[in-house]
Amino acid sequence: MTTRSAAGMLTRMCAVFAVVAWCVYAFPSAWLWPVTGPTAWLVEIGCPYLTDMSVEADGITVVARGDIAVSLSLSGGEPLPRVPGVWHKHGEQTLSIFAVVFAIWAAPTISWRRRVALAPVAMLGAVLVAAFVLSIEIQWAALKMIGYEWLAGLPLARTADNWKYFGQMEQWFRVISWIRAFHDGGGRLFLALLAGLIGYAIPWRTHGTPAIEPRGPSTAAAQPIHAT
Amino acid sequence: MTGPVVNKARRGVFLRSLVCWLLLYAVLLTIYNGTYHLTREVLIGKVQVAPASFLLSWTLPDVDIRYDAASIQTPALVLQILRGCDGVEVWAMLVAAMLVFPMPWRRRWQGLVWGTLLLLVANLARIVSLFHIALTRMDWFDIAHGVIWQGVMVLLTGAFVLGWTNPRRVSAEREAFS
Repeated sequence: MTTRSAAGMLTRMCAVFAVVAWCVYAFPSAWLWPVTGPTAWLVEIGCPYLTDMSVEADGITVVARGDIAVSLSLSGGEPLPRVPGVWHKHGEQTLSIFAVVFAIWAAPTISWRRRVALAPVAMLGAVLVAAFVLSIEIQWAALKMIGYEWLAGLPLARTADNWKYFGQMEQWFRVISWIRAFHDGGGRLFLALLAGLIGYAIPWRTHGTPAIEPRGPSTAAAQPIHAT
Repeated sequence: MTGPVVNKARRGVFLRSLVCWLLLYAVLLTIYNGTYHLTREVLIGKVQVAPASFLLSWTLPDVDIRYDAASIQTPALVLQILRGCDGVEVWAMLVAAMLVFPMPWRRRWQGLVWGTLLLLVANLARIVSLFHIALTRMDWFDIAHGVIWQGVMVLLTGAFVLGWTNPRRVSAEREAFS
């Protein structure tokens, strides 16, 4: 990598990071909107204790609504009814994923034609990573509230089934907490980094160089014009 | 037909490297979190707080800068350096990348050394700039800390890895060493 291509790479990254960061904070709802559907779906299929989820963006805040469905029984023997729940999450960290994905998408030294062709892949990667991160945040907030606040105030039956079910909930909460700690420990933006690069692993129909290879002098053999 | 075949193979290696990078990073981060109580005195106190305090004393000569094992203080401000503020997460990204991307071992070690220096300097710049921001524009602190610098550190690591693992240069060096 030459000094020129390194400087070009850094310039592109800084410029795209600044522009996208400005865009996502100026219009947060527009960027959070495509994330809300996949987030609700991921929470629905990922968390066995939440159902009928809907997620929407309200400015920079993400609002998740759903029913808490916990199969525990009360001390009187009756099952715990479904209870609606609402969780609010600040979308700042979700939005920063977009800035990082597009900054790293702009980094490799390749033609702009190919870069633009890969923009939808980067966008898809950003939405998927953002939805996954947000679904973990919502599950963590919901499970913490359910386990440590809501259930703690209910007269639950002291049965073996209840203990077993509660143990499973705790286990699930530990898994979610580990993933959340991974995200907070840099994993969130690392996934964004991978999402920005993943498009360059897709085969390209021309003989173009791989993603991390800079566009250097042509490697094709020169054709003699006046061959005799 | 060699071109597309090599290209396809390289893309396969690239994709595999990305997956291995993620897995190794998760392992390193788990090890770091599990051993944080053993390493924090050195990684935070000696490697970050002390040099950052020195730089702050230099850039803020009129301010009384003091520090302890995990915080930098002035009479008006206490900046705590917590887990995640020590730059180890991005360093783990660098270490994982240097181990999984195909390149000669000599280049891996060089990459580790130069990358470590780069991230150390960048993280000191981060702490010092955040301290200045907290002193002068506290309302900018959250966005500078939580969004701008986090993004910059990850992107800096990504840019270094992209530049260092450049296949053309790596293969040229491999040929030179063979």
